[in-house]
Amino acid sequence: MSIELIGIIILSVVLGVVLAAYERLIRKLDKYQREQEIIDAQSKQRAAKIVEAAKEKALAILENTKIDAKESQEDIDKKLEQITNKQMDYYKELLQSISENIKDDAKKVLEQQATGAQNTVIQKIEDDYSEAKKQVEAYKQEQMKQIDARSGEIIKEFTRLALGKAMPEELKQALVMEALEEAKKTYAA
Amino acid sequence: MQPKLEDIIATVEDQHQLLEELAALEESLYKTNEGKWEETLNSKVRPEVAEIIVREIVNAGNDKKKYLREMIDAVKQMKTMKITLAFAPTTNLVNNITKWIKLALGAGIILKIDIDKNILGGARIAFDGKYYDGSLKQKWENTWQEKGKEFLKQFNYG
Repeated sequence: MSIELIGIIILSVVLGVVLAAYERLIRKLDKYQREQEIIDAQSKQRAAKIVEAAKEKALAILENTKIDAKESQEDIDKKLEQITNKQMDYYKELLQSISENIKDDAKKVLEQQATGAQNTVIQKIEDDYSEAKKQVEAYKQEQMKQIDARSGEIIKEFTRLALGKAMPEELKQALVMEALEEAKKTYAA
Repeated sequence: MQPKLEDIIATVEDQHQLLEELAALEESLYKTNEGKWEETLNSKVRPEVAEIIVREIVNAGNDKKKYLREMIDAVKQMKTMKITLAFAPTTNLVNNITKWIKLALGAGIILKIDIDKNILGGARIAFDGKYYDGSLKQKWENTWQEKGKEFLKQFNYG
């Protein structure tokens, strides 16, 4: 037997072994694939069941929740109404109190303002009166000065005219000599 | 009693006039022409003044130059009393004032008289650095200060 033949035989054997192994592997893969499909199908069924159950449960929960919510809402509404009523009553009382206080305060404020205004007006009148009195007094003093000055001037002028024209020569000379005597006394003093 | 030269000087005007006369006589002494002194005495000096001068020169020993020089100096040195009157004084008043001055203050004082009608009467006197207002106006104002307000009260101005 030639080497070549031996080789061919060996190769053939190897090939046969490989092929057999390959076939076994293929079968195994098919088996796994079918099992996987079964598992997948079962899983899907199970999942579907779970989902359905969950859905039902959820619906039930939702239904219950609605009922609870409705009850709760009613309670809340009632409570809110009660609170609101209480608050309203409180607010009414408070408002009434505030209103009365405001009235009282306003009255006081008005009274104070009226009193203040009255005092201010009285003070203003007194100030004005005082100022007017001062002005009248100043005017009176000024008039007095003018009268004083004018009266003096008039009388002086009259005196000058009267004395200057009507004074006898003897009197004129006597007044001059008298002035000299007075001057002498003043110098001597 | 014979009048002296100083007796004829009562006012500043008198002083000026006499000084002019004395100066003319003094000047004539330095003229060379004969009779100049007599001529000046007759033409430029008032007769009553000339009479006094001639007499006083004789009494002083006929030294004309000395007499004139002393007289001019004395007249120039006379003190002046300034007196303000309300009217032009008569000669009689000026004489009375002059007499009073000689008696009261002594000789050698002349008057400078001013007129101010506003003083009404009396006199304002300034002499030897002193002043006295003896005018009727001042007296009137003093009286007005004292009694003016009381006077006005009678008319309900007070």
